[in-house]
Amino acid sequence: MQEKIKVIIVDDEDLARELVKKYLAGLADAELLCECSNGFEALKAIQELRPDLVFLDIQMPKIDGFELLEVLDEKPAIIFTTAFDQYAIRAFELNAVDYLLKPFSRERFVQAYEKAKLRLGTTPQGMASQGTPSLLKHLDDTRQTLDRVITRLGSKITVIPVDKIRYIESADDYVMIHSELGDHLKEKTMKYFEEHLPKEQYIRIHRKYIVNINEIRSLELYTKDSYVALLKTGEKLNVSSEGYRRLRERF
Amino acid sequence: MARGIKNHLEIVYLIMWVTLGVIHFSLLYFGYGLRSVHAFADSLVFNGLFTVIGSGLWFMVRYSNLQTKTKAELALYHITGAAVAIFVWMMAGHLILNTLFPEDQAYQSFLKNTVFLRILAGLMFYALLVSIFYLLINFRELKEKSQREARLTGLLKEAELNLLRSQIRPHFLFNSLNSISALTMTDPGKAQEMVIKLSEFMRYSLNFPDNMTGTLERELYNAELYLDIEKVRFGSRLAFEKEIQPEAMSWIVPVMILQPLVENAVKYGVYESEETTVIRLGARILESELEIRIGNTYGFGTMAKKGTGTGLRNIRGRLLNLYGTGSLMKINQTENYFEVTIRIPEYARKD
Repeated sequence: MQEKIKVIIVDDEDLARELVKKYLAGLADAELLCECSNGFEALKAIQELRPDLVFLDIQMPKIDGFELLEVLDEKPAIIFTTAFDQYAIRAFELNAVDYLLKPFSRERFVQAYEKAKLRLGTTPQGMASQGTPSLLKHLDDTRQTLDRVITRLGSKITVIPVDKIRYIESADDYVMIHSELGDHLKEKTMKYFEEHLPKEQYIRIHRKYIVNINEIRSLELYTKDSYVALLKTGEKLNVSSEGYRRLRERF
Repeated sequence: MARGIKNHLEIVYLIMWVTLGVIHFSLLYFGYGLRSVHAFADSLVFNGLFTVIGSGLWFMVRYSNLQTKTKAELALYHITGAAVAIFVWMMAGHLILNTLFPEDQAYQSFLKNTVFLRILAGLMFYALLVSIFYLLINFRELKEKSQREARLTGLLKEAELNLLRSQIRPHFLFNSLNSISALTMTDPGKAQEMVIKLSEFMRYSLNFPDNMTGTLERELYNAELYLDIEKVRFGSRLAFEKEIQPEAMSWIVPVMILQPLVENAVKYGVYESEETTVIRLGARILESELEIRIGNTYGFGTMAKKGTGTGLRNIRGRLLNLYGTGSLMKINQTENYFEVTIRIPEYARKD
């Protein structure tokens, strides 16, 4: 007796979930664990129920399908379901099993499902890895300017709108995002944020800091030729000579 | 005269010279007391010659206008031009009049004594003609420019039409078709209803009337079709309320003016929130304008992140094009409610 494939459906539209459910019901070896209508529920369900396969919509309220994947440590096999064709390249870069364009036929659905089974048979953990570093790097490059940052602690997701970020501090392999919503760790590089935060508002002032210029109260001379930025919150951040030059250009 | 100048300008040019000729004659006859035959010949020869030389100046001006010259070059160009023109004019005039009246001492001495005055007059004529020609050329260029602009506006209008036609976002269509695909299995009756609504909506959006206007009632009908379709997709996440003054229904409005606004409300409200988004549509007549308000509730943070979309910018642009004022659209935004108000003046223009 073959083991069942455990499945979760994530879509914010009832009818879209209904359709996937109907198609799944025709498959003897699929077991539907649950349905989720948003990314928060989905994160919790994936962490707790450990599905093999997730049918994932991309456009959803609060956090989208890509953002959900970004905060998952162990990724199940993913089949994207969406009406947008422009995300296909990104989806495959994320090592998705398949990309179903709505509306899709039962045949196309089964084909994607079989592909997922094949993948699950060869690599026990579905996606197996989080993608090779080069692939992830390329993925970062294809993103435009960020409008929000998603962070996760345990199963708690925080969506930080970009303009709520006060400054970003490097912390080894992570960065610490200091925002109005608190401090959050994120596994990304300073370079990534330097490149993807809105450039008119965020400036790299130091090897260790990227600051929201609206948060700066004043610049103070620290030693003979180095400065500190005094933030509205009272925090002081070191400013390198290169950072000082960039700030000068702005004011 | 030159090809480029239209016939009536040539006539004006000739009349100008005839007038100058008459003044010239009167001056010599009454002022200087010359014999009429001398005054007449003098006037005819000198003015006639400048008429011919003047038309030559037209080409000179046109040529100089085509070249980009510095001020110094231009000055040199016209000093040379004036010198040559006046020299030729004086020489030819004297030659002809000397030939006509070789023996007449009184006239001959008059001719000699007035050389300086004639050169002055020639300079004045030169300056006058050149100025007029420059003005004419500039005027012509201005006219061409405005014609070009008019053509461009026509093209823009065409582009606007195409834009409106393509405004139906493909993902809306495909998501709706996906809902229909699901409904065919769970609720075929509802699937059929949705196919019909979608078809009706698409038909209006793809072939709206050529005159680009319609009643508010028709626009509203289309917007409600759209909302009905989205309602099937989103269920209780979308609520619609409307408050329309009955007299407003027959008001003539630009076609597809409501659709982008309603679409925006759905996009920023319903797409971004799991809670119920209320979309409110109000229309009433205020003095001699129709006021339409479209608002939606929205969740924390969604508006700030998206900013004002191209949809709203397009509406503002269209209203500006149609009514010549940019103040017909206003945006009001609070913590959790976003509202666009547009005012449509009574329909006066016919396109």
